[in-house]
Amino acid sequence: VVVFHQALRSVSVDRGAWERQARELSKRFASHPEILESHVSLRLSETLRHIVNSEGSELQTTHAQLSLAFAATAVADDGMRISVTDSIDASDQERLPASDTIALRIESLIDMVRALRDAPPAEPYVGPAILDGRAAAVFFHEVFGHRVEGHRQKHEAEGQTFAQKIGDRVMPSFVQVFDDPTIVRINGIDLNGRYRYDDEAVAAERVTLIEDGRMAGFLMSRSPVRGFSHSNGHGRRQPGYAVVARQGNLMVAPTQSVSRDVLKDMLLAEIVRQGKPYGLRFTDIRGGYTMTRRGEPQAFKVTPVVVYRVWNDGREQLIRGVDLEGTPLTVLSQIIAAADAVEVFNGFCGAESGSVPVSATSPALLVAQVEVARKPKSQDRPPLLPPPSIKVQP
Amino acid sequence: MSLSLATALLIGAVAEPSPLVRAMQDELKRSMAELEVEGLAAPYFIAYTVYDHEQRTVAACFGVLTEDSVKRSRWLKVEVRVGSHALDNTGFISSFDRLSPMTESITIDDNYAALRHEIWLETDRAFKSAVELFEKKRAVLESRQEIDRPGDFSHEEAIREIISEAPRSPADIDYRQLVRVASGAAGASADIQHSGATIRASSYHRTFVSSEGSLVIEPGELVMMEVVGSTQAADGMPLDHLTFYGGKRLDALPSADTLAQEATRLAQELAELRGASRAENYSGPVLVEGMAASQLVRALLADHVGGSPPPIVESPSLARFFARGSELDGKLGRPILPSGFEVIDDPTREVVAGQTVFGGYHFDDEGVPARPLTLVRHGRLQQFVRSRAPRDEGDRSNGHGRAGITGAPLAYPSNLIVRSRNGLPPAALRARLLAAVKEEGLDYGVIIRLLDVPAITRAYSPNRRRDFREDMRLLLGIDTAHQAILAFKVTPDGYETPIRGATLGKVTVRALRGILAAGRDGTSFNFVATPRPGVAIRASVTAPALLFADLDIEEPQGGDPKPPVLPRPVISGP
Repeated sequence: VVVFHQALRSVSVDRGAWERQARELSKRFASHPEILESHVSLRLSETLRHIVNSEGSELQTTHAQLSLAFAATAVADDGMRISVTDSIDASDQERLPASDTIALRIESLIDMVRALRDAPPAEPYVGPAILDGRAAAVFFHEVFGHRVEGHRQKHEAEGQTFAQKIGDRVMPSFVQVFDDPTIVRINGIDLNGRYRYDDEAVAAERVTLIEDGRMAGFLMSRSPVRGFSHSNGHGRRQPGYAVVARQGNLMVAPTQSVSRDVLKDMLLAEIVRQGKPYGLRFTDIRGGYTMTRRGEPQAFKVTPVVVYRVWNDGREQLIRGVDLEGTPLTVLSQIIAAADAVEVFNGFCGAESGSVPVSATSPALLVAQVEVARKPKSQDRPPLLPPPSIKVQP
Repeated sequence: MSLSLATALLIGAVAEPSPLVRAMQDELKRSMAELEVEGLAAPYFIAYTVYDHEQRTVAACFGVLTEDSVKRSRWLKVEVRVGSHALDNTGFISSFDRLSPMTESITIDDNYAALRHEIWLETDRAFKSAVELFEKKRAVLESRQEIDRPGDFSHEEAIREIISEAPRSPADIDYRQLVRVASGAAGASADIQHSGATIRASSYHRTFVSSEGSLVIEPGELVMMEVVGSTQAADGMPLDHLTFYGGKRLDALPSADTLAQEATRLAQELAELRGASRAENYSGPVLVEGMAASQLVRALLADHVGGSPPPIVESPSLARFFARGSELDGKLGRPILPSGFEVIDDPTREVVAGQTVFGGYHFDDEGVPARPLTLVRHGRLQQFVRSRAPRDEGDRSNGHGRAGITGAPLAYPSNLIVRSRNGLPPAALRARLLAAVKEEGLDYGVIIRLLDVPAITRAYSPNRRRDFREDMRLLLGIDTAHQAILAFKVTPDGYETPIRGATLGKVTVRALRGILAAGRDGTSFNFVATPRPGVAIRASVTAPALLFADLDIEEPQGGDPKPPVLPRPVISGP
């Protein structure tokens, strides 16, 4: 039984200032003719939640979510659409970075879109890769996190990937993975997946999911699974949906780590060992989907946005149109090493119980083998006429 | 055009063109001159429509506010035609995702550069899509035995009209009290499970430019209000009741006092319905009066006097949805109503029979001037309403190309008005019904006063299960079943008792010829029609009471959910 009343706050937005800021930021895209579409949005939501139940629990909580998102799209000469997005999430207007920091993020997004537009398309490839922190975090969220949601271990229709595997080694022994919604920020970044009580009025707990590379637990709502009879505070939902077990802040925390430079050296050594011409480095992955149901291939698909070829002499070359494929257990078992700096991915995750804010954190990981395919070619062609030749108005 | 409007308008006052108009005209000119794909068709016509839209939604239930939101948006629709007036890329459907022309939300700032940029990209997409559809359409036509086609696009004069009237902002109108009062009164009885009132108000500027040289700017206001109450009978049958209001002025709604009275009556009528007997199968004379008459005419006539030829459809599976012809096809010059009837469509009216109607406009969505039309004279069908899609009987538009904010233009009526030269006063009409009942040797006759509007009640009623097939029908605008909300048995001695759960059996346009008599005064029904997915058209029907010789009433199916276990906890008054 939980009785908790969080003080209410009133949120107000200076509309004029927000409009000015959105215009100012989006103006940065206007001087780049290669960028066909661009977008800047500022969104603030304040959710007030009340829960009462017949056991005597009473809960009143608030959750503030501020998202500054930007995106830009270009089309390569062969018609491939290049879209890059970035976002900054915070719990408060005051916690947004300074405007010149935001401007820098936009400028680097613009540089990335332009570079990707001119980059060569990917070729099918199997071999070693580095997943940078944010990419590794999204990868873990999709490939691992969804499979340890408790309700998936009991439904016949679900794949029960890990159901029989408690205590089994599924990753190298230096890998620890847990989910902890009670951590509110890391490296000064507010975590989207933070909360004190879940949507069944159960206090959020830190759940160890992988201990020394072995399966150790599941994310639990109040719906029990054989061997796991209690909730650990992960019953979540979007208003209007029924609760299921969901991720909050999924954290990959290796017990051994190396510096970034050493990690790259290890990749180069692995390229040589496997006799490959090059390896890959994923710096940004957009969430994809994971098929968890029985009868579907137990595969995942995430969309890498920013990928480099790493030649065995250390040179890096940006490529575009990469599709990452494979089966989860094999990829997870092939982690060779981890870097020391942790990066944060903030986002929203959609599943049976709707869209909920989540975070995932991880250091960069070196994986012995990933499999990539070339993205199917789009039928689009670049615009027939050049952009209207006009100067940007002040 | 009504007098009150004419004085409010300054037509043709052309000031410095706005950044929006300049951006539309400049990109239009460039696209016409330069857009081409080697070896394929070039555009022969391009039109841009931009809707500047400010929309407010205010809703309440049981007297308390549930929503008050204002949204500003601007929508760009690009129409590109390749080929020729005789054969182009339109009137052809190849897949579900190509139903509408490109409609995009664009910047609400008056920034010339940003606007041109967005218009450029949308035009590019629309052109590429047009070229692809044109090639497919040609291939389909070549493979089929087609009868003589009247062509795809009419020739019309260019129009330059700027109506410089400033619509008010819906944010400035006090709507909150109206929804509170109406939903409170509709919910102020112990048996009501849900009550709700919603006002949707908007003001807009529609800017239309075309490569023929047209420039039309038409501002407008629009308001719609619905009040709904719902409950269940003791046997579980869901019972909904509603009233609705609409007009082309933001303040075209009844006063709070009137709303309170009408909502109170709604609650009383719902209470009566709870105690009413279940409808039984019936076949015989039916008097359809009040709102129900206009609702039925909407289904029988409004959806069929639209003269757009059905689209050419690539695959048979799509044909099921889109190749529905009009029930009036081939009936031109023939009687479709008894000889005393006249039907006109008048987009220039804002008031019909003393009631506000919102189907009107000055220029249609293809920039053609609005004008009143006589569709039926002496009971005979004279003409269809037409867009710029030519038909055998007429290759010019008569100002009824309707598209709404999204969607491709198609012919649809505006304010449809049905009148009978021999209209009877209410008492005489009822006497006529009773005479018909006696003649048929029936125990009773039926009067229907209000039909359900599923698109409205289903959004409120907690007792209606969502049903995919019904959703699909709603989406496609096929209201085949007409469920009665207010229906009554009348015995030959004149006694009237309410019945619940009655549904009108399948009625087609043919039933109109079996009208025995009509009333005098019309009731206006304002509605938003969706003749095709993605196309929302506001229109109205005003029809007098109609006594049908022979309609079928079907009894309810049963299988209803049980009423709530506990009674309503607190009854709040208005």
